[in-house]
Amino acid sequence: MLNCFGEFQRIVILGGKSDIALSILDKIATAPDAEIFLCGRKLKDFSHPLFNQFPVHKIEIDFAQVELAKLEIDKIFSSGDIDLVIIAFAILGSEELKLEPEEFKKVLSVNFLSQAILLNQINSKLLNQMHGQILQISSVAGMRPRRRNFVYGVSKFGVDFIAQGLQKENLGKNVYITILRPGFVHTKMTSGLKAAPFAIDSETVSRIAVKALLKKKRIVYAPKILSIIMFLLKLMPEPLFKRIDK
Amino acid sequence: MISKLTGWGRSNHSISTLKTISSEGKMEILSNCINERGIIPRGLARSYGDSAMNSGGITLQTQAMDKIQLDPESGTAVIGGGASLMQLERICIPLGFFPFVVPGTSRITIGGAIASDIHGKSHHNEGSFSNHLLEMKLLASDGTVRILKPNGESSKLFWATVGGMGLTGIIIEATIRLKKIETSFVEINERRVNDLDQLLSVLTKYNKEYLYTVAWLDISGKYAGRGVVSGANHLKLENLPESSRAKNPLGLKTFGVKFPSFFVIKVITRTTIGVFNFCWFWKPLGKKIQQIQAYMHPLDFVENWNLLYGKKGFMQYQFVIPFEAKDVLHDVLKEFQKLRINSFLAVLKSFGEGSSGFLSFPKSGWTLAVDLPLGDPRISSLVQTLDRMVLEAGGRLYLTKDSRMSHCDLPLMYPELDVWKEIKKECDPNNLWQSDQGRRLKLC
Repeated sequence: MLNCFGEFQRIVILGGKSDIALSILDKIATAPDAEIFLCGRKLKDFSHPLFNQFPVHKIEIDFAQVELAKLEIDKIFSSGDIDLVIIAFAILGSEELKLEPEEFKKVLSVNFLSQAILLNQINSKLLNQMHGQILQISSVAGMRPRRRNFVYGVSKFGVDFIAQGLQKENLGKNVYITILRPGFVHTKMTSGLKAAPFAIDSETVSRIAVKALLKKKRIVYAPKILSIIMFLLKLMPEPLFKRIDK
Repeated sequence: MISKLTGWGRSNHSISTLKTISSEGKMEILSNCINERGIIPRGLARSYGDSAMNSGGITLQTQAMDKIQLDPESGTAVIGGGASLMQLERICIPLGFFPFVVPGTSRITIGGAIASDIHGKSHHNEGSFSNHLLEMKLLASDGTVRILKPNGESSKLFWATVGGMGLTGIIIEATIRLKKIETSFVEINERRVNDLDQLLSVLTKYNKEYLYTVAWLDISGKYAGRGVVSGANHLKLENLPESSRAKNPLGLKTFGVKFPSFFVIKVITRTTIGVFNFCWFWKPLGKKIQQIQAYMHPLDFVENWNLLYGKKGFMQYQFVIPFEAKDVLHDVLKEFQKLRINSFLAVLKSFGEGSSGFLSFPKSGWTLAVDLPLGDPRISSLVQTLDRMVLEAGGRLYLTKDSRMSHCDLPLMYPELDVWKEIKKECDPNNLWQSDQGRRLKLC
């Protein structure tokens, strides 16, 4: 439960190694008795300086096994109310192999199907509590198909769409979903890739995300200028767009 | 009806289904509304934080249980759990009776008074509310009504309900002892003091001379520690001025004003606090006679004064520390001075021995209560620092004023917490009684 300062007491991170999520955790207002539930794969030996500040429960979850993941989420919620869930897991996938059947299925099933199912489950749980916030880490890659990452992009678009639908369901019920649409972010996931224009680091993304969470914003871009850039890019005629889509 | 609820501090908010219990305390109609989020009773919502709220569950208004039956022969009253102290005083004062223990506001229910084990200006002499509670009827989670007394078989659940923040059941009715009064007036003596040491010394002296004592502190600016100490005794009939005796020696006070509910304007600021504190410190003092309700319940003059803190609301930090740890009071005031935090309500009292309530707040020592406006980002770390000081001194915080304490500190502050949890588990195995505070502090 939030205290009178609006400090989060119990936080769940799906995608426990996410640089963005951990950077957000470092910055958000947490209660002195805050507890963190870190969910993801190969967390046993994963350490981070933040883990000295809070009790951290590491829960091994393979998000590709969505039914098992749901059971773990059930267990977390049955141990007490949750104030904030950061949904940060994703597979970027390989640009060269993106249309290979196995790769295609893996990216879509983890990034879209699993994430949509878990988002829906978590949202229902928060509605049952009648309080809570979700930060859904989406991407500007979902705003318009680009040649190099449209499979990743469509998976982000799909969950983004569902998150917006759930926002409408949540109206007046004290449960808020904030959709974060970062551009290219320098993280473990993107290391080695050529940076896109307006690339930023996870520190900057997390500062923007924390402000958005405080204000319970519906949608926020990181950097913020991307809201205008993406608006223009979505309107751009395809013959013009394909010249910049390299 | 789904409602957005808040506590007196207007700082914690939550949404729950608001229902009303019937005047006889029957709950059958609710059985098809109860989900796993449970129920919490809610009286007049004068607790500062989230103890009378239940996000996602049912919050049960208790004011319909408002019967009051006074027995002048035995000097006792049987009162419905939803009746207020104000209603009780309106009936008992004209008949020459007054409750032994009343807090700064009479706008609280009897159920709330028990659930918080409230204390007042007479604690050093007369203890807390439960010291004068003869019996209560509790609606338990299995639907049965249990009669609880402070001694005997039912004493464990009695003392778990006292100070239990509504988490053991609904108090349908209580029988309390009243004291006889000759007039509805008190004679008051007030003295201005210049620093904390002088204040503590005068308060200690007044505790021997007066039934009711309290000190107001000015903690604005560089003056942290100066204040006004007040002591009062019931006025005997022979000492009442002729004019008042002729009018009515047992007259009631007609209370004050109420702002419209949209008047949520931040009037209480650093500047206005400084001005108020200056005026209050320098107000004319001396011996005087005052109507008892006006003296006991200064907070009731403006019914909804909490609106003056504006949209962000406020919190109250109240702690008690042993008498021998009085240096901690100096350290606490230094913390306020360091950060230049002002408060217009800083009240210091001394407590006598505590009651047997497992989660009852009062225990022998000094208690300080400070109102703090929210919105200043430094307040959170300030109160965490104060928590450490209070804990090291062997003190504790008041759950009725709490809106942010850490559940990790609770077992250290309340050593009988485990006993209380066992009784809670026994009397409420399906965890029916839940509140936002209960979840936050892992009490339910």
